[in-house]
Amino acid sequence: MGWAMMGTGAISALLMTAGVAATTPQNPPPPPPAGQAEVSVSPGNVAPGSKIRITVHCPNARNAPQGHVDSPAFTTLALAEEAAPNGGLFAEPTVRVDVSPGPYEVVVTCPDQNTKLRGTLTIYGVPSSGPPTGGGYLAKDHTSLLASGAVLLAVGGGLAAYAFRRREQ
Amino acid sequence: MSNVLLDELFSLGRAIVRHRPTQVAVAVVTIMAGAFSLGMGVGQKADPWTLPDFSIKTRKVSSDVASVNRAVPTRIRIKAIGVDAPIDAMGLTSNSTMDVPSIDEPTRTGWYRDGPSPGELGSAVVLGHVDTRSKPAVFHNIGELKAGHRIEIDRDDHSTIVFTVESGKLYDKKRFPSHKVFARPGEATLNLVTCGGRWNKKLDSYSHNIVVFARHTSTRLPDH
Repeated sequence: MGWAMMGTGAISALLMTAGVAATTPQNPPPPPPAGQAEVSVSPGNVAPGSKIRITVHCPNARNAPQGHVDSPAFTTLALAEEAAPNGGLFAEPTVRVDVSPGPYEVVVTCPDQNTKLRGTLTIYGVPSSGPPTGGGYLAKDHTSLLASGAVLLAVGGGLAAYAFRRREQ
Repeated sequence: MSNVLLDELFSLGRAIVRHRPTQVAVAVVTIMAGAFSLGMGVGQKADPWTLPDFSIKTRKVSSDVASVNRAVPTRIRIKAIGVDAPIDAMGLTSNSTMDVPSIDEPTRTGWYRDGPSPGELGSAVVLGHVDTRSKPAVFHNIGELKAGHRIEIDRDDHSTIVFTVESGKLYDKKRFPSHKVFARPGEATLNLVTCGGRWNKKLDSYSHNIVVFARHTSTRLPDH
């Protein structure tokens, strides 16, 4: 009796899934397949203090209480519905200014309050000073080159003249 | 007539070289060294060091090009100043400045790998030396850059990201605007960094950094 009821339940569940599958072509971009990154964080590499955009596809997102997004890198923020008709939700948190560099987990709690989806955000360190990118050659004063060139030419000319004169005597 | 004169000169020259070889050799070497030194000096004067007052008059470009995903940049080309150089990925040093290519390899450039890649949203940074102790380096002509010049970056996903120069400025190393250069959020920019200003012998360093700001204006994908 119990087995029979479970069997019926499984079949009706299968039928429902099939029904959902049949209607998907009408819904524009489908949610990402299971196993891939469920939460998109853009840009994924930011400096402290930057604003980021988190987008997610939650199941049962319509007519449910608000979901929210949590991370040690920013203050918890509620999810809002995308204006575009793709069924997505988004939030635009600002990364804390005092957060140290490294990877941070981003956890989205869907509006059904049960589904948790995860993504990663990487905070990078900002160099504190300008890089050393020169050796000084171009800034040298080249007047000394001109002067030494002129002196060497004069000495060479003098030596040549001396050699000629010695020969003529 | 002139042949006879030339013959006389040659025989006179031969006689001098035969009788005073050392003096002639010294005179010739000295004259050659003098000419070389003079030539170098004149060459440097003709190509004056304009970087102490470097600045690029700002001209913003409008761009609605889509940003791209992360990929490692491999080569930088700037036709306007004759740059075609490999890019190495570089991180932070222990004293919190960005690492730079070895001064023994002054024709290479470095990309800040902790930040965005060229074409991603945010500030991508590529730096290069302006000179070494004894010769000019990859970015020595950066003073010739103007707003509107193109910078092309090849990436290891076979895309080429094209940036257009918008502005450029000289910043005192004591007040280097780190966040403006390395971490301005929003549009995809490429910021070139090198040295400029006056050479400080005591600190063994230039007084300033030059930064050129360029904006992502087009993307070339492979097989198109």
